[in-house]
Amino acid sequence: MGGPEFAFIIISALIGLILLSVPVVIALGLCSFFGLAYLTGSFNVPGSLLASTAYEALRDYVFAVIPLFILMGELISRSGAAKDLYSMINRGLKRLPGRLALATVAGNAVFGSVTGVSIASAAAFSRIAYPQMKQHGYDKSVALGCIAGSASLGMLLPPSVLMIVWGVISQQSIGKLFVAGIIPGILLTVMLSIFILIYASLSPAKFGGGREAEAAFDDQSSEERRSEMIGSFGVCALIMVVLGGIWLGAFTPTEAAGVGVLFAVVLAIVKGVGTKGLGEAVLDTGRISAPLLFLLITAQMYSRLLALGGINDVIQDTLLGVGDSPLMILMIMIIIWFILGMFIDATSIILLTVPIFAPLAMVIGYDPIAFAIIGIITIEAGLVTPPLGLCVFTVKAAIREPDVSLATIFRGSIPYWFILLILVAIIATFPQVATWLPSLM
Amino acid sequence: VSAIALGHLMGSASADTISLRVGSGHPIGLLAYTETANKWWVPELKKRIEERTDHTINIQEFHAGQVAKVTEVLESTETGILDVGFTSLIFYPSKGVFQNFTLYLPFSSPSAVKTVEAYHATIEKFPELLQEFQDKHNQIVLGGTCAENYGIGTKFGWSEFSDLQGHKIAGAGTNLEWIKGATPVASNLNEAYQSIQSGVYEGYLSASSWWHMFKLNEVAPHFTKADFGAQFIHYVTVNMDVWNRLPDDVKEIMREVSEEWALVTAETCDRNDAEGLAKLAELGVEVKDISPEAKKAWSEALKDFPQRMADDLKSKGYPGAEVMNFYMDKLEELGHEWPTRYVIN
Amino acid sequence: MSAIEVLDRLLAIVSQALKYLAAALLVGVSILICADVVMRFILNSPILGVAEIVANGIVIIAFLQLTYAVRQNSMLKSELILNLMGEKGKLASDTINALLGALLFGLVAWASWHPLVRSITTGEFVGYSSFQLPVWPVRLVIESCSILAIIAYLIHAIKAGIFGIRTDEVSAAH
Ligand code: NA
Ligand code: NA
Repeated sequence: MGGPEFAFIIISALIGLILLSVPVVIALGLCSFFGLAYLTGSFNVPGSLLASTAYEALRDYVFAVIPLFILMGELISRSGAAKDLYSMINRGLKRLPGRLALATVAGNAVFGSVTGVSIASAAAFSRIAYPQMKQHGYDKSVALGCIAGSASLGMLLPPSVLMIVWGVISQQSIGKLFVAGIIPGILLTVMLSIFILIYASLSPAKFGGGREAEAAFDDQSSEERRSEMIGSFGVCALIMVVLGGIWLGAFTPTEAAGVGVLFAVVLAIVKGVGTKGLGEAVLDTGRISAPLLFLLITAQMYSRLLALGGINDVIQDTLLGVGDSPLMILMIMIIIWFILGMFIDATSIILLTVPIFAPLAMVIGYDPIAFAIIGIITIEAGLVTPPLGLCVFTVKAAIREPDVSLATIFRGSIPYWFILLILVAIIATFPQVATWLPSLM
Repeated sequence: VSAIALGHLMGSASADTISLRVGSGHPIGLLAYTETANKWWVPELKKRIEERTDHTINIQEFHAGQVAKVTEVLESTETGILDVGFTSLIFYPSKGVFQNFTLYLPFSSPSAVKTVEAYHATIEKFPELLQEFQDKHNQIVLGGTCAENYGIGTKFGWSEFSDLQGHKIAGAGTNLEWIKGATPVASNLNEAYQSIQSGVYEGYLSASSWWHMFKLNEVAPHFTKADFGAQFIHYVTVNMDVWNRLPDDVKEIMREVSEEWALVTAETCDRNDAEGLAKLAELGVEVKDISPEAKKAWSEALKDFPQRMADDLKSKGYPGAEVMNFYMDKLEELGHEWPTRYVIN
Repeated sequence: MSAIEVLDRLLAIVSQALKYLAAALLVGVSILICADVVMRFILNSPILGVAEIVANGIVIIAFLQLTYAVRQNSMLKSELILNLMGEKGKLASDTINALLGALLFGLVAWASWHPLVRSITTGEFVGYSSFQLPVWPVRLVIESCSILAIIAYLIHAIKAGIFGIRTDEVSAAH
């Protein structure tokens, strides 16, 4: 029978395996199987859980955006268009400290208005922004932390898969949740930018220092300048086509990934990428996306084990035990989200907790829309915390540099995690940040 | 005698404690069948078992796909991940092709209560409808019931069937077959708000209660009570191995509660339907009944569909035509008038 | 060693081929989505069934990439303790991880067999009456790619455990 002890054991087992360098996919899968075998006294039941989840976990249109956006990022990167845009920004905003990191945050804000899945942003920007920041002398940890951290904008700015799941489970208007994310999303963009400006001013060396980069670009031929213009405008045109198409009702955000890929192919061809380069882009996409897709499958297996093991009751008992102070209850919820965020993916966390949390939050007087935004930001913060931080893992999978360890990326992400929690505190104190725009609808 | 075995099988601590894992793929409250599963079936079962037997019962509930998505509940109950599953068979076009026959007869009765009565009569005449769960899916049907009556919400106002021409209307699964005159677009309710707002499509086949639950009234202010009908697609089933080990008194109570659940759910559907329409009107939506002419024209446009499905069922070895004709007659007996009495042979 | 080498070479060819197939499918998915968008937005006649194809295609794509991912050792893991270990410790860790990986996909393959057989014998499909997509190709890909993953893991285990060869991520092939 499940219960607190069982939850404790399976979570400890998972941490132990991960620390012992067992690949996370294998640790999650085996914990799920043997945990459920213990719970049910049968091998057939956990077997069918594995089979069913392997078949069903990804069988949804929205998961297609992950490899599609990775492919789009790969194409934009290979075409040199991303390099063009970053070079232009680097030269055009010479005096601005940390300008490439700022461009990455801005890019994530724009990209976040197209994709509803954070790891799609993280993967795309690992291919688009990282090579540029590295080339311009950025500290690797700083550059990668920035990419993993600012990917959270993808879930906060509409569209957002997390908001859809949240809305369905708690019966909130998905449309209103989307609108509620806009101001917090802009606020987060501003906060991230301010952080980067301050950090880059204090330690310019970590942000490339700007010296070599400037020299290299001063003696460009007009030919090179023209090509750079084409690349930069190409990226902007692609963004406009995708955003415009969604706005015009030509396609849904999910379909935008497919459209974006085709435009990126055109851009790559215009920029002179041959068939060999195009082929390599598609093949690399496979190499990057497979480990991520299997993480999603096995994280869902584990989430189901947690549910069957009685995590619902554990959470409910914990909440009942803290009394009736709304602030205390919210703190406990945030802590529970944070702990779950260490082990399972965002959607699974919502499935496990929102049915319990959302009604309780209403009872103790939190606005359901503001509460949803608080929850989504907190859960997003879990994507950059060890041991299982999906955004960090995505970045690691996408950059393909053996000497950059997960720990390096986790370290670089710490400030972003902190900023997300500050945003949570702001919305908890001033729920209007989230509720004002939807109240106008 | 089997008390200890029972305790072991269900992972319970003591011999007289029955533990059941109950689950569904939908969130509680979105559809009548999960709402009644959580608010009626579970508490009622507990209450009656505690009142009338010596057993104690412990039920864990997993809704909203926590353990099994809508497309997994049938298999999860078959293999024992769940002991009891609340299944929406509309998500099983293949395994539920026979049981889902009401979907092939659009413009059936808008009343869920009457639909349940007619379907139950059909089951009595054709018990193979439920036998299949036992023979192929290792589970026993305890009860079956309806979903809410389908209507159509749109961004634009319309009255004639021909007004739909050129408009894109969304639906999911077999419902797409009902979209005639307009252009069918495959989608899901989660994407509907943004899609209708931006104009990817302009309407959706939906129950009135879902229309306001998904706040679609904000982007599509017209709702037509088209009366495609309440559809018999929801079942509560129990894993056969679990069933065989349950004490007889518990089995009896489970059957009894599930049979009543079917009617409780049907009544909830009918209430949701009426309240949904009232709520929409209150929210400023133009709510109206479909005109008899439009309904006639629409059902005429669909008249080949039932025959096509009957042929399909026949090719798979099911008595499709017999079952559908019996059901249509039964609904007529209960006072339903088919706008087009489909001819199936 | 030679038998293992031959098997390893064979698996390399197979995993490459599956990787190319997955890549082609991914491009196909993106073309299909665009075709659907154009047909719906401009010609007012969407291609029904695209959602089903994309949803099932993504599962197929993921599993087709599995063997390659396993061979490349690209399943993510924490290197915290690994970095503190000596060469022998690393070899032991590699061997154990590979055996655990073989166990996991062995369990997946074992449990997926029955659903595969049934999807074939009953002609199971997803979609709806006018658009039926058979289930067995997805099931078959899950089954066969899981088996290939077991073989790939076992080769890793034998190489590391018996012959003392580590397969480092990335360095393996490019
Ligand atoms: Na977004
Ligand atoms: Na985490």
